[in-house]
Amino acid sequence: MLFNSYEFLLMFLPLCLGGYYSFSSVAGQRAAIAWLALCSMFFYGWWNPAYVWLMTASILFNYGAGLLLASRHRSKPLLALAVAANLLLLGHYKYTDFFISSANALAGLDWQLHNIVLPLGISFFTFTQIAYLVDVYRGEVREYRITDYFLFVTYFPHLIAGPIIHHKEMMPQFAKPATQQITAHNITGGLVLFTIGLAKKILVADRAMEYVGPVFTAAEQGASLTFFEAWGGTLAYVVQLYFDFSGYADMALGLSLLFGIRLPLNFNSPHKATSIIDFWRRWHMTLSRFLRDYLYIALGGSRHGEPRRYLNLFLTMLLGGIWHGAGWTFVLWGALHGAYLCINHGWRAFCAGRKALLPPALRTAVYGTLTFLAVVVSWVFFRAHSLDGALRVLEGMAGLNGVTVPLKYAEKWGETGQWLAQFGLVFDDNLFKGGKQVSQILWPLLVIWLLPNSQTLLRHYDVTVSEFSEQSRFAFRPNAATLLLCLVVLLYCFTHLTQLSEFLYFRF
Amino acid sequence: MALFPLQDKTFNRWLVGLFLAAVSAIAAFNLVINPFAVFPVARIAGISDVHNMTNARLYKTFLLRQREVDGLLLGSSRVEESMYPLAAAWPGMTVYNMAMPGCSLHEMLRNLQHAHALTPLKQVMIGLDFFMFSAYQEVASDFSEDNFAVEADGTPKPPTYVLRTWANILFSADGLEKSRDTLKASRKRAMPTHEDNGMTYIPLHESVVHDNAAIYRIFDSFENNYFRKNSFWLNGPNSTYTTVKNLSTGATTYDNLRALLDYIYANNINTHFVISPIHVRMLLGLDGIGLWPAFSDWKLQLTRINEEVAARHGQPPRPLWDFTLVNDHTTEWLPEDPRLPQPKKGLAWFWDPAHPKPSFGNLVQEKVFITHQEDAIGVRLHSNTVQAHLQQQRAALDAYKEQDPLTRDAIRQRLESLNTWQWIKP
Repeated sequence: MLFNSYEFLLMFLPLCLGGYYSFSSVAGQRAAIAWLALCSMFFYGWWNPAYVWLMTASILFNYGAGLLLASRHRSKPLLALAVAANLLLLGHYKYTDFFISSANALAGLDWQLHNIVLPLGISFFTFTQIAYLVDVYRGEVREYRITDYFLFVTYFPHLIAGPIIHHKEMMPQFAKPATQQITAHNITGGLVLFTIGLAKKILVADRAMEYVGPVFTAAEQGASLTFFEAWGGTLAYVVQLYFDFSGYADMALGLSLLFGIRLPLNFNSPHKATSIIDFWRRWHMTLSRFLRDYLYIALGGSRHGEPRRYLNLFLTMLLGGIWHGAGWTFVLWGALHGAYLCINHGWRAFCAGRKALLPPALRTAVYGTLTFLAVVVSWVFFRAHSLDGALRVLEGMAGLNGVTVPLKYAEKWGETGQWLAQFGLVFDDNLFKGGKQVSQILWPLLVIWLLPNSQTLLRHYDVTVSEFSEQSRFAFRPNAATLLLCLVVLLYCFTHLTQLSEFLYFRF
Repeated sequence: MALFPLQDKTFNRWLVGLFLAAVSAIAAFNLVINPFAVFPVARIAGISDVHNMTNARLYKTFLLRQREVDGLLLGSSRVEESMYPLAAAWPGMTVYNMAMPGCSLHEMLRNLQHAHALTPLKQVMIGLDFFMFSAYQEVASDFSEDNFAVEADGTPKPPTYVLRTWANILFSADGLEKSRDTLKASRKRAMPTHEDNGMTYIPLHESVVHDNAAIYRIFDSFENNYFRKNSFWLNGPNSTYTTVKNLSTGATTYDNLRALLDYIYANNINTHFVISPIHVRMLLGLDGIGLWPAFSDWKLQLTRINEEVAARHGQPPRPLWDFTLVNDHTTEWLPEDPRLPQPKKGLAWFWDPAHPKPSFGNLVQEKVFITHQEDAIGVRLHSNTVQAHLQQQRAALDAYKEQDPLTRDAIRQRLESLNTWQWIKP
């Protein structure tokens, strides 16, 4: 079930929310938690009921393993076994076909692909539970009720595409009776945040999408992309991915707030980052946190000298890439970010103690632009289905296949056009659609760069458990104008849900 | 500075209340007007009785639920605009023209499955077009799997499958817009867009090509649209035409044809295939772009695949007719052609270069269902004769180019202006 569907908005959400607060007032907190866990299982089963059993088995296994770990006083073999079981499950569903196709390609084998369907959200619920097991082993977890644990894993706002929640920030909220008390403040924050997220998805991400597919598909099929085609497709993807994923995160936070539960933040204006280090503190923040706490530190972090630290950084990002998807493009994407981070740390070490050459404002602009370009290049690998396809897009972006604008501009630009043609500009119809496409990409980018993000706008509503630092003189306040604006946006989005499109991060 | 500050509680009440009120009003309006004729409510004269059916996919699939249709026409706008079911061709059958603009092979299969699941079909005609086999043909914006009574694998859906579509119409801006159009059209007593049998409404078509100037404008528009890059034909990588959908698996759109044929032969449906007629200007365009070899190969593949699937099912191949021939009908001159002794009004056989008129559609139906006679207008394709037929058509086009340099040069000029003259190299 998608958040942007009529069945969710008209059926599931009212029933789930109504039941939650009714159970809370009539039968108490435990009943409300159980109801929410049950609804979350139904939400998951809507996609494919068969996988409800898989998730239930995974939850029961991990809850049991947690109890055992707690009672056997930090047994390392038991932890290793439990984590390995989780990774095996993930590996089976996510990486079996990747392994087979890679083996076929490298060793010239002819093993049959299994065409395994990836259960929705498996990457998210596996990581959530591995973190739980590690913390039990570390002695950082007190005993939880099984209903709380069930809800912790299945909680529907985060289940399919994150954020990757942590038991330490969720379980206390489930246990607190005040959570199940309906408050107007939470409802306002939740409704407004959900509206913002829905608008990001419907008004921006889904519109940018139409410029992405044709370019990347053509690249896969061997097309030589010209400069504007390649940049047009790639920047449209940057817009689509950010607004899709952050839109989902806003909806998740907003929905959760309706239930009085605060989720961790997943985005903090990542494209305003002025370095790659900064980018990863702002993009998919809960994944970065997981990778840092449970992978980078487990690998040794910075405890074994600088070279090892760089290696650990690189390996962490490489594995982060593989987590996103079973394909060599994701491996390369992870490796690229690993390399970026190593260079960034090296540059910082080099600059430490030296006088800056550029004034602060110019430095911010230069570093911000460089960071954005580096990230854009990496997204090409993230979106492409093959390395060949990615390289073809990058060739186009480098201008190796010339610069072409739509044929209609030959007449419109008149003599200026003829003058530009002398320098190699070609007028012809291709996948670049001209002005309309530029505006569909440009205005969302300006929104990304110039406007405050959702949580900053809603800072008076305490929408997340995470800390964030962005400042702005704009803040949401309930009044007639914001009421009208919310109503218009909500109605517009609600009446434009007919072209349902899935969220990009559902596949990870 | 805040204008009329509100308490959270008041804000929430107003937001939710106004939202629910607006949504209820939209749903009530859409239900009463019933713009796609999918709800079981009565039509109200002057309010909801003239339907402006731009969403043919939705309208037609739901309309089949209300009728026991046992004769079906499938295809693209070429069939939709030209095939008025002839009583003699469909004896005793309730026939419906379920062709749709830009229809794909997959869509035709789904429409066929849907119709056959609702009422077993006695006879079907399927119009095939070259553009349908482009691997890069875009899915029509109003296509939805939700509209069909069966799943793609043939499993029947529960009757509640209509609920999602109903919700989409009740609450959507698209539904609201179409309700408004329906209301306006009904109040003005405007012409409907479709005949009762699913064909586009003939008087409406005639009003569009009301004078010769309009015909020339329409020819310009269609030719520019078909001949340019990234449109119906040249929409593959580097603006090429390709039937290959997936380079790594080698899957092509011919696999979609095989799926359609498999369904027809497996269910033993009496089906007749036609390659719909187009004006010679379109054939000259195909040739000028360099697509003639691909066009000929496409006909060859259709013939072979039809026979191959028929043999696999142990049945005789269903008839496949080619009407894209160079003949007196398809070479009809435009109404103000300088070679005419005096300008005529309109065209006899075509609405525009890509769409034949019902006059031509009648000829096609007569040949396919009644006389079965092959001649210069239509030829049945068999694998043992198709090569000779293709060579003969190549020669006929070359001869026509010699005969009619005016049209030949006009098409060349248009292709040059679109950068597509000889775009596909041999």
